[in-house]
Amino acid sequence: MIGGAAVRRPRPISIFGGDVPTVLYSDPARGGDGTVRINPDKSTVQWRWISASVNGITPFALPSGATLKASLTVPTTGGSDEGDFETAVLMSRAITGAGATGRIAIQPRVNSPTINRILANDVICHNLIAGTSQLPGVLPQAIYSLPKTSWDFVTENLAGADLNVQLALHGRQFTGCSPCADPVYRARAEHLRWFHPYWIGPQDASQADYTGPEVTLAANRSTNITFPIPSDADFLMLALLDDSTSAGGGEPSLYAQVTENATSRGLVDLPNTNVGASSLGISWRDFMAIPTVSVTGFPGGVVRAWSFAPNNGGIAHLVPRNTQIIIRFTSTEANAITLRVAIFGILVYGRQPEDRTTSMDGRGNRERVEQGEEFLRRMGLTSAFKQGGPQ
Amino acid sequence: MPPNAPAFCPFCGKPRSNDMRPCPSCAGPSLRTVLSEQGGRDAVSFFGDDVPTLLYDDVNNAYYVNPEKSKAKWAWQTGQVSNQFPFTITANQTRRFQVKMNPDVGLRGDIETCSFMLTSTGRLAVQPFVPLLDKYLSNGLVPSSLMFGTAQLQGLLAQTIYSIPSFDWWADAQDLSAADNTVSPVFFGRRLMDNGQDRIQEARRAAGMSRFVHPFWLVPTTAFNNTTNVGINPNPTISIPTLANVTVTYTVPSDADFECWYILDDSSTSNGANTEINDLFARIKEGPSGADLVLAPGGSNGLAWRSFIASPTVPVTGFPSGGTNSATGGIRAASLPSPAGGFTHLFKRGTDIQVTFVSTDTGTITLRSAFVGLLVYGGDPAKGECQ
Repeated sequence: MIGGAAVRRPRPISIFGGDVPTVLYSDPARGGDGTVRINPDKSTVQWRWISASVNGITPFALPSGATLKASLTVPTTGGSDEGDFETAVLMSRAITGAGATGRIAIQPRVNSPTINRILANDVICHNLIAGTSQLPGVLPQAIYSLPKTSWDFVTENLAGADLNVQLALHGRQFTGCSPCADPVYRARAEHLRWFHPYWIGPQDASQADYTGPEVTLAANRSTNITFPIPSDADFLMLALLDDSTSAGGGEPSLYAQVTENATSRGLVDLPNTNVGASSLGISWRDFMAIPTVSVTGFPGGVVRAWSFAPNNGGIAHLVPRNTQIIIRFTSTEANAITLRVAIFGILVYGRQPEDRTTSMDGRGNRERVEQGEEFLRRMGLTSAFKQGGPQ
Repeated sequence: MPPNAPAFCPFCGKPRSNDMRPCPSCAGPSLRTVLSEQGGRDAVSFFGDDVPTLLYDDVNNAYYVNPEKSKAKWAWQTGQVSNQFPFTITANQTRRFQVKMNPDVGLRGDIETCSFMLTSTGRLAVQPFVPLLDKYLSNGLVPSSLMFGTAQLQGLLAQTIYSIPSFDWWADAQDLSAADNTVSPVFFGRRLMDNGQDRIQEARRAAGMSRFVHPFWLVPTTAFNNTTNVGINPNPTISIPTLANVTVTYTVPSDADFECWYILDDSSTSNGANTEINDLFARIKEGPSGADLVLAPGGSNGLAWRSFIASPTVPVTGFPSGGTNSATGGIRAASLPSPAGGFTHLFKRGTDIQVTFVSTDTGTITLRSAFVGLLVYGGDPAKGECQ
């Protein structure tokens, strides 16, 4: 790899594997004629935008205060079984009749022929999930799906006004039968069994006020907000995302400390003696969460997330299943703050180590693990970081 | 004094006289081999491969979540003065702050730092020191906008820095704003809570390798006004008078080559009507008699510095912005792709990189610039130390 951080581009990790080569070389050493040719398969891999609709209509109307489900289906190309589609980007737009933008919250679900996955624990403010063509919401890992796979989006209006909404996937479709006929590629669609992108928003059964896509933090208030990890998969955290706003109109004055469960050590090292603001944590939007930036078509901004370059240096943090992340938010301003926050990462299925029936320690284990890694690599199922944490 | 880098093996710590051959004690690879593999990789590669997330056990034919994965945890560390964060630097003064490498339990808790962040109420300049490496990360005080970012655009390092608990970093920070300056430095990385002996040893060998390749900021060492034949104080900012021709020298340290990744700039002008500096041109020579890196007609002033050569700052949340030291500026950090498309340029040790600036600006330009990359130790081919 040349460069590194300097040249990493925002791109999802392809489940399909490496890109389809553009040029092929016929090697005389292997009986070829020494010519260079354009790969005929290259033109069978084509950009596609697929829009979601409600009752076949897009953009669809989303009345004030309403929640609707929009859906799309990956079409076949040519034959009934061709047209594998790899989703790289989520995009959305919500505007009022007068052309002003408004916020919505969405919860995507993928319904493949073999497995269904919800990509968020609740509806999440769309600024933290999707983007626009100016800053697309690039997934950390592409979602490879077979034709006829459907997606649906639970879509909630947060704007307090009627909205026209458009949601779309952008990716590439394998229109030729060559890749589609290969069972290896088809098997890659099974990756949803093992991991997929996931967003976690505030959710706490005992704190209804601090559950949902938007929660209000009163002036000069400090509170713990819970982000639960599902019970059937571990969660590989990649980024903290924020699109909060202050009722005062300025930059929210907000501090935070992050812990895994209530009793663990905080992830922020603070001075031993708390002095002034240090007892509150560190500035949430300066040091911890990726804040939004303004782009066309979004209210107040769209998450930058994976659109420019990776934050956190590509470092991921694995949180075990059935636990929780607790963020203690402290406001130091005299205005209420509307918190729109989410944790973004990859949900990792797989058995727990304590479920093992044989020892995985020692050399025998190492060999099995190495074999396993090689198997995963062949299947395009290596750990999320290696394939794509941010590149 | 820093240890003589080639004198010991980074893998076993025993004396090693030849960097080009495997270690006679532990058979560790040659330094040259390691450098060729490690140089210029992404920010988290220094520790080696990441901890795998999923393991496949072909005995049970099942996937397992790697229990070691959850022992590598995100960590934010704060820069502190006398246990205070944030802290205040009195106007025009310098203070030293600490970055504590607190252990978790026992000696667990090695830290791998990948990005620098900072907010402040005015401009300042910083020079960090890493005791475990026994190295400064720059040749002088660096304007903070060229070293630090925020969560929006973190100041990603060209390569991570590995630290062992209790080897606290420190940094000198000088106020440039001429007013009391409240500063919040934050360093992001991961804390390794692993108990596995193999992994700890692997990680600490990587820490040893940091002595041979580490991030480095190269700031001006001298400056000379060719128009008036008068020297200019180069540190930490340079004042370029109206319509002046100024040669600025950036001297690569004498004990290591410098693999440059970026040239960064956060300069400003006193010409209030011209907030962006369109009137600063430059040529670069690799030493007084070295190659010209900017090929432009002889009669011209060179290329526009902030349009074609240096990566200028961009405004981000929470970071100083504006045209003067007392106002606040932007940060571009090392977060966006390099204008060089990722190409690096190796400057040999001891090289005087000369940048000749020509100002056509009607105001005085305050130059804040740095070459950013990796300092690479190892045998010097010029001395026959590499074959």
